[in-house]
Amino acid sequence: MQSFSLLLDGLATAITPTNLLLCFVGCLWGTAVGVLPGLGPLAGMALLLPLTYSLDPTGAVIMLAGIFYGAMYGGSTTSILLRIPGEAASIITCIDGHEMARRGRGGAALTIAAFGSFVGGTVSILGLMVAAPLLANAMLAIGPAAEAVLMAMALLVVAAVSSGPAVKTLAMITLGLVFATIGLDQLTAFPRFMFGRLELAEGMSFVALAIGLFGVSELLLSLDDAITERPRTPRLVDLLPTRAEVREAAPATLRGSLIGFAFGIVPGVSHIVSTFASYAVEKRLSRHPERFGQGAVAGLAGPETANNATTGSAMIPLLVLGIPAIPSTAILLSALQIHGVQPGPLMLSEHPGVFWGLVASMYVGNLLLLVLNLPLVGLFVALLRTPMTVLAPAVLLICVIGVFSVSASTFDLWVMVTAGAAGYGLRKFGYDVAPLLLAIVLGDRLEVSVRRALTISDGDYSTFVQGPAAQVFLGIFVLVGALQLGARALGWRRGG
Amino acid sequence: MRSLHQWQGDAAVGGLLAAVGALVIHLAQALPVGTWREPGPGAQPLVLGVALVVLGLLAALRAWRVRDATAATIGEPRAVATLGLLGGFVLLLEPVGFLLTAPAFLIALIAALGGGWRRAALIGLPLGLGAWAVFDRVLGVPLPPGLLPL
Amino acid sequence: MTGTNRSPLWLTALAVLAVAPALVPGAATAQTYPTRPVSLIVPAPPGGGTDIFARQLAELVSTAVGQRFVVENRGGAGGTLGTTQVVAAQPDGYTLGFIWNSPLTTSPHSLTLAYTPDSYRAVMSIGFSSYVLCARADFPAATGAELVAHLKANPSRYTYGNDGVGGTMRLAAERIFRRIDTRVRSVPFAGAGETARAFLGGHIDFYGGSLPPILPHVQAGTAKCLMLTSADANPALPQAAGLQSLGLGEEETVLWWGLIAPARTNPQILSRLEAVFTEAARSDAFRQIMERQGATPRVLGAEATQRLIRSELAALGTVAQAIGLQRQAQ
Repeated sequence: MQSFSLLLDGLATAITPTNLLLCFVGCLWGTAVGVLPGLGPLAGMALLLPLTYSLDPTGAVIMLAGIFYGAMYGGSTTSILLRIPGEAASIITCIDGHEMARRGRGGAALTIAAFGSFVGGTVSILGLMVAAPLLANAMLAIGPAAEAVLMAMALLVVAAVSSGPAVKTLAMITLGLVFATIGLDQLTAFPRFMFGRLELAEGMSFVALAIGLFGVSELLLSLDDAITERPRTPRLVDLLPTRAEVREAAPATLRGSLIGFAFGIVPGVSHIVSTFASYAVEKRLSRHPERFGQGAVAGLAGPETANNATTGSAMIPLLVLGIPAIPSTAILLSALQIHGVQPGPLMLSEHPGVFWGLVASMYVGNLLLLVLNLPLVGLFVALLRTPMTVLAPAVLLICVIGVFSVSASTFDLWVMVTAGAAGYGLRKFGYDVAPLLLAIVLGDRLEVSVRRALTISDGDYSTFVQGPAAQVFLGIFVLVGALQLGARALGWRRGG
Repeated sequence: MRSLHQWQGDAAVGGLLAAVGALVIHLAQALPVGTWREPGPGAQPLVLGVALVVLGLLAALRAWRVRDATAATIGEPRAVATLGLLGGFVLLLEPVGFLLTAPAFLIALIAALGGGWRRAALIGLPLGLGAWAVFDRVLGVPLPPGLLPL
Repeated sequence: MTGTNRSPLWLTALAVLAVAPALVPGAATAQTYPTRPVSLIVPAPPGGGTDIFARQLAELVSTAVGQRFVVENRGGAGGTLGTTQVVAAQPDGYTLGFIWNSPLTTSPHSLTLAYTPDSYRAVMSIGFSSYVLCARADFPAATGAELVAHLKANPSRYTYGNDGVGGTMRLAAERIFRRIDTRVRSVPFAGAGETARAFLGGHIDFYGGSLPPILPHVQAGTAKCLMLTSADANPALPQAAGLQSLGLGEEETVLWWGLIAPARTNPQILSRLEAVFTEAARSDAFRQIMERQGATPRVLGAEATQRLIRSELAALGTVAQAIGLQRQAQ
C-alpha cells in the first residue's frame, strides 16, 4: 500500500490553507462558468490560467482542476431548470432533468444531480489511483479502426434510447451527420458546404448549436401556448428527494459511476458518450422504461453521475501519457509545463508531490462542491419563480453572451438563432433534437476515423473487425443485441 | 399564426428533410468521391444525402398514415416576436455595441411579452447594464463596444 | 484660364484642411502610444504553446510599457480566422496578432484567404521549435541517416501521423520525403496529442509533430526521435539528426512564432513595438519559458521576419503543389 501513504502525503499537501483556498476558488469559479451557458470549463480555465503563473505547480493544477470538475457539476443546473445544456455532457440531463423540474421536482433533481456528481467524482478518483496505468494502455489500444466501430455503435445507442418513432430518430441522426461534414475536410483540406464562410472551416460552433436547438427552442415553445404549463415552484421541503426517488437514484448513481469511469477511455468525446451509454443502460434496466423522457429519476441520476465520473479518467491520459484527451485537460498540461513539470510516464517518479497532491485535492474538491452546491439548490430553484416575461429575455441575453464569448463572432450568434427557430419547428412536430446534436458531435469523428483506418490498412475493410479493441466492442455489441433478440423472442421485453 | 393538424406539420418536416437531402446530393457533386479503398471528401455526404431523402420521405409517409389530427399551430405571435427581437439584437450587436443594444432588447422583449413598459424599463435597463458590467468588466469576456468609446 | 487654375488650388487647400486634424492626433498618438489597453489576438484556443508565449510576453511588455496588453484567443480555421481579424483591424496599433507561422505560410495554399504578406507587417519573431519524426523503440534504424536509407528502400510501406493537410508539419515532412524521393503514407490527425496517442498505441509507424508531446516518451525509452525538420540538431534530443547533417539543410521548415500588425500601422508605433517585444523576448525569464516548451529562442527583427515569411510561403507552395494540394473554391 505504498500508494496509500503517498496519498496521505498528498492529502497533507491538499489541505494546507493556500491549496485549500485555491481548490475552493477553482470549484466556485468552475460552478459559475458551468452554470452560465456557453462558458464551459475551457473558457473558465483559460480566463484564470495567467493567474497560475505566479503559483507553485501543485497549487496551479489544483485550482485549474477544480474549475474543470466544478464546471461539470455546474453544467447540470441550467439543463435541469431551463433545458439549456451548460456543456455537451449535460445534453442528456436536459431530457429527464428538465421534465422533473416541470413537474415541480426541480429541487430534488438538482440535489440528486449534486449527489450523483459527488459519487461519480469520488469513484473516478479511486479508479484513477488504482487503475491508471491499466486504463492508459486500454486507451492506446483504441486506434482509428476501433474508434470508428465505437462511434458507429454510439450512434446506434443514441437511436435506441430515443423515445420517438424510429424513422424520425434516424432522420435526425442522418441530418446531424450531414451537419458534421460542414467545414474543411480534415483529411484532404477540401472545403465542404462552407459557402465561402471561413467561420465554417472547422464546422458549426457546437455551443451555438446546442444553445439554439435546446435553449432557444425551449423558450420559444414555452412562450407558445396561452396555457403554458409553468414549472411549479417547489416549496422548501420539495428541495429534498423523496424516499422513492432516492431508491431509484441510488443504483443508477452506482452504475453511472462505473460506466462513466469505463467510458473515460473513449478518445475525445468520453464525457458525452458516457452520459447516453448510462441513459441507455438505465432505460433498459428500468421497470418503467416508458417513464424515460417524462422525468425518470434514473434517467437523470445515471448520466449526471457518469459525466462526472469521466473527469477522473480524463486525467489519466494527461498524467500517465502526457497527452490531453479533451481540450480542458490541454490547459492543465500547459499550466504544468509552464512550471517545468512534464506529465507523462515519468511524472509519478519525478514529481510525486504534484501528482498525489492533485489526486488528493480532487477528493477534497468534490466534498467542497457538494457543500457549496446543496445550499445553492434553493437559490437556483427560486429563480424559477421569476415570471416568464422577464425570465425568457434574461435567459436569451445570457445565451447571446455565452455564444459570443466563445469566438467573439456574430456568425455563431446567427447559427444559434437559426438553430433555435429550426429546433422550435422540429420539436413542435415530434422530431427529437437530442439525436441531432449528438450525431453532430460523433459524426465528425466517425467519418475521419473510418477514413484514417482505411489509409492505415491501405484500403482493407477487414481492419474494422481486427485488433483487440475493435473485437471487444463488436463482441459486446453482438452479445447485447443477441440478448435483446432472445428476450424479445421469449416475450420478456418490457415495452418501451 | 397558422392552425393545422399535427400530422400535417409532421409530414411537412419530413418533406423538408428530404429536400435538404436532395440539396446535399446536389452540392456533393462538386466534391471528389474517391474510391472504395480511399473514400474522398464527397463520399460520406453523398451517402448521407441519399439516406436523408429516403428517411425524410418515410417520415412524411408515416405521418400521413398515422394521421394524428391533434390541432397544432405554428408561428404564435409571442414566439415570432421573441425570434424577431433576438434577430434584431444580433444584427445590431456589433455595429451599435452591447451596452446600447442589450437594454433595448430586454426592454422591448419584456414589453412585447406583455410585461408592460414601466416594468420593462425598470428591469431591462439595470439588467442589461449589469450584464455588461459583470461579463465585460469583472469576468473579462470582451463584448462589442460598438458606437461607444469604451 | 484663371478659373481652372484656381480650382485645384482651392481643392488642395480644402483637402489639407480636411486631412490636417486627422494627421495631428495621429502624430500625437505615435508619440504617446499606447494610451489605452492593446489587444493581442492569438488565433488559437487557450492552452497551446502560442497562447503561453503570448500571455507571458503580454505580461512582460505590459510591465515595461505601463499599459495592459490583453490576450484574446480567436481560434478557428487553422489560425486563419484570428489572423484575418488582425489584418482587418484598425491600423492604430491597438490590435496586434501574436501568431505562429502556419496561418501565414501554410494555410494560403489550401484556403482562399483575405490576406497576403502585403496585408500585414511583421514586427518581430521570438524563435522556433523543430518538428520531429519519431519511431518506436524497436524500429530498425538508430540514426537519421539509417532512417533515410530505410525509407528510401521501402517506399509507401510506412505510415506517419501529422497535424493534417492544412498543417505545417505535413508540408515539412513531405518536403523532405520528396527530396529523398520516397513516399510515406500520411495519416492526418486533429493535433499532436492525437497523433501521439495513435503512435504510442502502435496504429501508425511514425510520430510527426511538435516536440513536447513525445519528449516524455523518449525519456522513458518507448520512443526514439530520429529526424528533425530544422537544419540544426536540438540538444534536448541528441539522437535526432538535424537536416544539415543529412545534407538536406535547405529543406528546413520549422514552427516559429512572431508578432504582426495591420499593414498601415504607423511606422513609429511599429518600431516602438519591435523594441519592447524584442527586449521582453530576450529576457531570461522568457527564454526559460521557451526552453521548457522545447522551443529555441532566436529573436529576429521586422525585416528578417518579413523575409522569412515570404521565402517560406514560396517554398511550401512548391511542396503543396507537388503533393496535389490545391486551393479549392469554398
